[in-house]
This record gives sequence, structure tokens and C-alpha cells, in this order.
Amino acid sequence: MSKYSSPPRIAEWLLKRASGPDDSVPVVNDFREAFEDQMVEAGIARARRWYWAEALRSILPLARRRLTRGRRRATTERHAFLDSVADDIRYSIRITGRTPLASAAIIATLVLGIGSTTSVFSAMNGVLLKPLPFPKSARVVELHGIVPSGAEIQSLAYPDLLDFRRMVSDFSDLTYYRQQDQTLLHGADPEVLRIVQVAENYPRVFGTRVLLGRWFNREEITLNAPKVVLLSHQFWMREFGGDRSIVGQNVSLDNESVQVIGVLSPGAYTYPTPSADALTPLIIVPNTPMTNRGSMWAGASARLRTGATTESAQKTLASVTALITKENPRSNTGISARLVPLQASIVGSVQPMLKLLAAAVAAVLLIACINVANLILGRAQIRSREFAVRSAMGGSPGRVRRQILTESLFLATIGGVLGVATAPLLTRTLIAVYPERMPRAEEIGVDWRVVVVAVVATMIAGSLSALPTVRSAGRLDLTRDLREGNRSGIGRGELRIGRALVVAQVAASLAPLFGAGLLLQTFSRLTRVRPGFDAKNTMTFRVYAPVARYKSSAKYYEQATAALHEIPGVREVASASTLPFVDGQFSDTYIFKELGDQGTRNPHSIVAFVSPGYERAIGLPMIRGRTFTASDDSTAEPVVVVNEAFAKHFFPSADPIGHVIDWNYKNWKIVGVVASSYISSLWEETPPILYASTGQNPRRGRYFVVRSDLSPDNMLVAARAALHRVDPTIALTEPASMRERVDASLRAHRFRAAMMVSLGGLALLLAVIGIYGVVAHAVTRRTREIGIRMALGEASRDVQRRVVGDAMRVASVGIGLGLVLALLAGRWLAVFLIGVSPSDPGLLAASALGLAAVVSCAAYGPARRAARVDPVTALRAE
Amino acid sequence: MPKGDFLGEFEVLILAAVQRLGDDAYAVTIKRELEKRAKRPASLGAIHAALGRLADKGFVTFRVSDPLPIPGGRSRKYAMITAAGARALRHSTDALARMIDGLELGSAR
Repeated sequence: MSKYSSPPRIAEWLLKRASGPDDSVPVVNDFREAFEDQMVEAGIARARRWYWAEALRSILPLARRRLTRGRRRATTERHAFLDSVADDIRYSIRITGRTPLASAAIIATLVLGIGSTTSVFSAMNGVLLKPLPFPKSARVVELHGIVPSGAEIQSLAYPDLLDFRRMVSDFSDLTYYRQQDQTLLHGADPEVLRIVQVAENYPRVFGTRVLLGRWFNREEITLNAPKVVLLSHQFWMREFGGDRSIVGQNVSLDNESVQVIGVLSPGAYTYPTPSADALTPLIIVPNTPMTNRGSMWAGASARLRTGATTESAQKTLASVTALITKENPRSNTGISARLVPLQASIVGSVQPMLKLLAAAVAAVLLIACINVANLILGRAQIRSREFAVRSAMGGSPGRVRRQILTESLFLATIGGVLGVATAPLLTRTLIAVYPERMPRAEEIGVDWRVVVVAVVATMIAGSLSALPTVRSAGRLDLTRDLREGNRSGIGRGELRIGRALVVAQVAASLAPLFGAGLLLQTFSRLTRVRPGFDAKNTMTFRVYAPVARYKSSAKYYEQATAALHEIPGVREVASASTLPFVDGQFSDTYIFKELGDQGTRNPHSIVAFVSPGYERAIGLPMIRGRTFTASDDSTAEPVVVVNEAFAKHFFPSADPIGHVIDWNYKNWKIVGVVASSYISSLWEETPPILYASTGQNPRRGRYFVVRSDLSPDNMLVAARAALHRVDPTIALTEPASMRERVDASLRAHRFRAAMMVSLGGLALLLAVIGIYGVVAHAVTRRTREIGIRMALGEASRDVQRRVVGDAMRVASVGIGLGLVLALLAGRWLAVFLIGVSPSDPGLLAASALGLAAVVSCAAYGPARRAARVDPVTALRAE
Repeated sequence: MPKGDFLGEFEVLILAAVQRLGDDAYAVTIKRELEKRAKRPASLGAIHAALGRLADKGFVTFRVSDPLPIPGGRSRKYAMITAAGARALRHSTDALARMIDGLELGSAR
């Protein structure tokens, strides 16, 4: 265009922008033509002016047109897309209905995977993720005491707590409390209430609110004030049917008259006992162990001031602790305090278990997805001819892929909906079979987070399952598929993907199998451990003889022991302050007379108070010396009995009998040695125990131990009746046979083992189905080849061996990979193992061989079918 | 004929021009025709936009010519009236004719 001057560039650029990519060429061409005409007629300057004017007038209509057309196209495209998605879904429904068995298998697998994922997540959500149910609960920390031995306990000394409250500026408030069960007399039978004794400022930390009546006032928390109680909402509804007139009335707690001053709001949070029945004031009695430094009995929690963090408060607390220790070296040396966010403190114990569950469930979901992927791939292989025809008729590979994805998501959605529907049932089962009372179990439920996780799990399952098929559909080979589809319905690429899935499945199944083996072995080892005492035929339960009724508890226990002895079939009766496999063992420090006071290095052990005949009732053999008798009372010489572990630990080369212990302001002579037993678990060492007699150390709350020929149930009924005759106001609580107490200590191990065994079994079952499917497909595809080989003289036994051998080759790759995963899983499970190596080679080999055996069984069925191929039929079928 | 297919006045003029110009109808000639016959100034952009709308309704189709065989020769986007376009044009002009029949409008001249 050298002989013409060109039109104004900016104007032309504007025109291009306004008309859009589709229209810009004809528009610009027309403008140039008209511009050239103008130039010929009126000259360059006027033509340029004309061009500008014309362009400016054109921009608006062109731009408007561009916009409306864009919108029109988007609408039509969206309609086309939605129409075709609707088509895909309709088609999916038809396909699903046409292959009911395969579809049912896919859906069932997904229900299992998604259902278990959802239910475990809803448990994790309720327990670990949701904040505690009171305002700004994240700012509340619990104070744990650290004792000189380094152990961490959930209590501290009262005077220390007062100092903390005064001196730690990071706390906006600090409150202390204690759990105390008390017996309520209301209605026919006495009932033991779970009560929290609280300080006046408790609501400022826990946000406690009162529905009826009022909170405790300052006077009620002082010594000798009239006794008062606040009922929890659920206890008020349960026991008093929501009767408002109860406020102001008196009830009997531990045989004392106590005035009900109010009812807490529904859902009011109580700590450390969740859903406690009632709150009472915690009254500090001066000049008792309660007010001693070094006597750590009070639970405590604090609310952090705005801007303070747990770390900053911990720092301040450490410097305050150092100050207190400096001023009170005798009582506080080696004692410190640690802050733990309240939620972490509550759920700390379940965290590893729930994480284990989550991992196991994720593995199941993954294996389920692999299985479904396999089933979908199998279905797609049968339909490869259909896909080829669709492609030949103009269906793009993308369209075919979308169809596969839609089908998979459709099935996953059905699985997801059913899975979410079954999740609450699974969750309830989980809570029910959970070894301990799961903390915050009452807060577990379905909320938006659970729904989001379920939807995400469904989407992941749907897409993951479609992935292999979608990938293979992307490499559609029309000529081959149209030709081969006729013959066998399966291509080489698909077969390779099928094999890869089997490898993945075998690999993923080995880890849960090995894990199940490890946990099962741990559990079975523990069941063979003998506790040291004789757990058979022994019933135990707890009673409490309140001060208001018995000045001396000895009288009650004398009568009760006699009454229990009278029951026909009862052989031994004794009582004790604590029992093996019961929470809350009491420990204390004392001095060996010949060694003298060694300060912080003084000996320290569990101390148990037992009545005469205790060792016979619980079945602990006497080793040396004598046991307690009825004559060991407050007037007699103070005596103690020790266990074998005590003798070995403190008197490794001497006889402990005759040695004297300075303890509790008296000198106690060791008169006997009794056998050791496990105390809180069957896997920790048997600890040293110092036994003192209840005759010389009265105890109001005790456990009865009754050895008899009666069944536990009959024994309990008879015991209740006997105790009722002695005193109808005293309740029998915590009944359990010793066998049950020991079993209860294994519950966590049993739960983990059972869970892993069922998940491992499930993984194995899914793997078998998957392998069977792939081998069966391969055999179908190779019918002709097998026919030819057999026509050429191959024996049917060899055919069979070759098919199984093929499967085993694929499986062995999976097992190889699986061994690595299994070792990782083992290392991860190590914390739950006792006396079993996390990489136990024998168990690992057994798991691998077992899996291989199962795989070969799964391959055997199709292999037999292959061996029965009739060469003539196979060849004629072509 | 559906209601939405009635033509605006500008579209009637364009469609008439396309029909009149026959094989030589593209934005430049249509603009010239509009100015000559209807004494109606119209920007090239407005004509392109109107042709696009008419094409959406199925009243015109386009044919892109080969570039003219001269140096710097450009292609042109020719518009052709479709059967539906011709019907729509007649429908609109008939309706107008019936409506103004017998009215004393005076002469514009």
C-alpha cells in the first residue's frame, strides 16, 4: 500500500477492539475501502477526518453487537453442555440398570468406603476439631503439675494456685476444682452423683450459666456455711422431672441436708467431669493437707488474657514457679507447672487412636477406589466397541471421557448418599465399641464440615475410580477397537492398566494385613500374661461410709464384712482402699529408719490400705512372714506388709522383714512379704507396693473383694441385698469382677486389633474381587490364543499353571511394593505394640505368603475355566 | 411468524438494500445505497452490527470473497438475503403498507 497513505492507526485499533476477533477483518477491510474512496474524492486529510468520525460512530454499535453475540453464544454453549450432561446421566442410569450386579458391587464398595470415612471424620470432628461448647473456650488452659519424679499430674497445691492467680499477669482468671462423688438419698435407692466442687470464680473461666436460682455467693464458699448445691439441667430433668419448686428445697447428700439453690442452663459445660450431675462449693479447710504447699490435690484451669498466648503464659508461670520454689525450698523443690490448652488436655488420649482410625479408613477408601476403578475399567472394556462406534460417528474422545467420568461420579454419588445415610449408624457403633468412654462423645454429630468431607470423599472416589478408564479412553484406537471389539472386547493398553491396578491393590492390602497381624499378636501376648493375683471367682465393688452416719467407718465395714460372709458360697471377704486395675492409685514418700531422712531422694511407692484377709480374697500368695490380723488395730504396734517387687527394689540382698519405716508420724515395722502383681496394666512392670492395714489407717471409701463359688451376677445380687440389710442408705458402686477389670485394661488393644483385623480382611476381600475380575477378563480376551495353544498340543494343566503364574507375577510386584508400605505402617503402629517388633520378619513373611496364597486362589477360578477351553469352539467362534 | 421476528426500521432498510444490491451487497455498498435512496446516514459499524443481528435471525447469510486480485487486495464479506429474510421483509413492509393505507400524511417533498 505504498502509494496510499494508511488510515489512522489508533482509530483502526479501536475498531478492531470493538468488533472482536470474529468480525474485525471484514469491518477493517470495509473501512479501508471506504477510506480509499474518500481519499480519491476529497484528499488525504479529509479522508482521515472522515475515518475518525466514522470509526467513532461505529464503535458503540459494534461493541454492543460483540457483547450480545458473546452472551448468545455462551448461552447456547451452556445449553448444549447441560443437555449433553443430562444425556450422560440418563445414559449412566440406563447402563447402571443394565449391569445390575457390577453396579451393585461398585455402589456397595463405595458405600463402605465413603460411609466409614464420613463416620470416622464425624468422630474426629466432634472430638478433635470442634471448639469446646462454651464461649472463647480456645483461651482456656489447664494447669498440670510436674512432680519431682518428672511425672505429670492433673492437680496442683492450693497455695501455689493462689500465687499463680495473683502473679501470672497472662491469666485473666484462674479457678480450681475437685471431683467428688456423693450419695443422694431420693426415691427408693441411694444414688451416687458425679459432683464437681468448684471455686466461686468458676463461671469466669468456663462460662457457666444458671437457668433457675443463682450461682454460689462468697459466704457459701466459706467454712461452716450452710451446705448448698446447684443441679445440672439434665440431672434436674432426670431426677426431678424439671420441677421448678425444687429450688430452695433441701436434699440429702452423703446423709447431710443440702439446699438446692439453682439449676444450670441446659448444655452448661462442667469440668473435669463432663455432664456432671451437680456442682457444690469447694470449701478450703485451713491447717489441713488442703492448705499445704507440696500437697497437690486441686485441679485448675485459667483463662488467658487477651493478647496472651499459652507460650507467653507458660514463660511467666515458670518465673513465678521459680520464685515460689526459692521461698519454699522444702515443699516445692522439683515441682513445676505446665499449661495445656484445655481441648488438648481432654482429647489428648484419643488423638493417636483416632488418627490411626483415620489412616486405616483412608486406606480402605483408597482400596475401594482401586476396586471400583477396576470394575469400571472392566465395564468399559466390554463397551470399548460402543465407545469406538461413538467416536467413529463423531463423538470426540473428550466426549467419551466425560461419559465415563459422569458414570463414575453418578455411581459415586449414589454410594456417597447411602454412605452418609449409614454414617451415623457406623459412628454410633464406633462410640459403642470404643474401649474407653470417648471424650466429647455427646458432641459427635453431622454438621457442615462432615457434609463437606463426605462430598469431597465422594468426588474424589468418583474421579479417582474413573481415572484409569478415562486415560485409556484418551488413547482410543478406532480401527483396532472396531476390529478387536468384535473378537475379545479388550485392548492391550487396558490390560496393562488392569495389571497396574492389581499391583496397587495388592500393595495397599499388605499394610493393613501386616498391621492386623502386629496388633493381634500384641493382644494375644497380653491375654496370656498372668496378672499375679487370682482373677477367677472374685467380685468387687465400692462403698462409702459417710461421716454424718458413721463416726468411725470401722464399725460399718465390720458389719458389712460379716453380712457378706453369711452369703452361702462366699469363701473370702476383704476390703481395700484401692484394687489392681482400678484408677487412682495412692503414692507416698517415707523414710527407712536405718537410712535416715534423705530429702528428695527418700523412697516412694504405691501405698494400699487393706483389711485382714485381703491377700486370700484377691489370691496373692504370701511369700514370707505374716499378714494382717484383726488384732492389728490402733492400739497395737504399727505394722506393714510389702510386696516382692518392693523387697527386690529396696532390699536387693537382705530380708525386709523387721526393718522399720518412718511414715505418717509413726514407725511401721515390716512383718511380711506378699507376691507382686500388675497394678494398672499387664505390660508395665509390677511396681513396689507398701500395704498398711485399715485397722490402723481407717478408710471411709473402700472396695470390697469377695471370693465365692457364685456366678458374678448372682454374687452381686446377693451382695446388694446383704449391704441393704446393713444400711439401706449406702450405695454399692463400680461393681465388676476382677476378670472384668483385667479385661477392661485390654479393651484398647482388643479394639485396635479387632478394627485392624476387620479392615485388613476387608482389604483382602476387595483385593480378591479385583484380582478375580482382572484375571477373568484376561482369560476371556485370550480364549482364542489359548485355543490355538491347546490345538498345538499344550496340556490343559500347563494352561492353568500359566494363567495362575501370570497373576502371581503381577501380584509379586504388588507384594514387593506392599512390603515397603507394611514396614512404614509397622513403624507407625510401634506405639501400640507390646513385646512385638514393628518389623517382625516372621509376621511380615507370613502376611506376604498369606496374601500370595489368597491371590493364587483368586486366580485359580478363571484359570480352571481357561484350562477347559475347547480348542475347536474357541477357534470356530472367530 | 413468531413475534420476535418482526424487523426494526433500520433492519428493514438494510434488508431491502441487501435484496436490491443482489450479489454486490456488503457494508460499503449498503451504506452508499442507504445514503442515496433512503437519505439515511449510517455508520459502517452500525451496518455490520445490524447484518450480524439479521444473520442471527436467519434472514441473511454471509459469503467471504477471495481477496481481490490486485496488490493489497482485500476480501469482502458479502451478505445475501435468505428466503426467510425475504418473507420477513415482505411481512414488515406489508404491515406498514396496510397501516398507512388511506392516511393523509402529506408529502415529504
